[in-house]
Amino acid sequence: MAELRPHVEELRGLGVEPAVIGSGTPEEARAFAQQMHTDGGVLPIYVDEALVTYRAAGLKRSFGATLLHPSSWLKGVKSIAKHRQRKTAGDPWQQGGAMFVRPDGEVTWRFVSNFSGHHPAIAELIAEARRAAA
Amino acid sequence: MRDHVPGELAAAILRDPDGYEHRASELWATRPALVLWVRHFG
Repeated sequence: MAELRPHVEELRGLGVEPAVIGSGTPEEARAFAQQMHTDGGVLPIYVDEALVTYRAAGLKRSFGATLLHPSSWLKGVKSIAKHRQRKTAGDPWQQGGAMFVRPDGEVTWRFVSNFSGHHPAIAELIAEARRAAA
Repeated sequence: MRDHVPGELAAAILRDPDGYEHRASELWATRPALVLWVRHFG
């Protein structure tokens, strides 16, 4: 999410409202927002402790995808080198993902993370934001 | 054929950092939304 933070206003400028969903508690979400400097409405954060939206969105949850995928190790090392890794707050085996949704419920793009550290490129998100808002 | 958000996802209840509940569909009710699911907070 640290990579997304500088592009939040660009997304809004394109007509897309970003929102983050995590699997921790509201208290953990608040602490995370402060750490990422996204509190105060800069980037809305929500929690889904029961993982209902993760399952409904078809996102993956597995031990193997989190720890055993070779790319997880490489991405993990790079991430630690770039950002200080903090205590895990939420379901450690849950993978992430992303989706652009229009007001009529149409999903114009979706991304399912296959392993830890597998994220969409910012350039792809910006391009898809333009398409979603068109 | 257009891909639509699953009903279970649209109806799911989320909580904000203050503990207030929100229906997930509120996120894209008025304008397109980029919904990002993070692995964990941290």
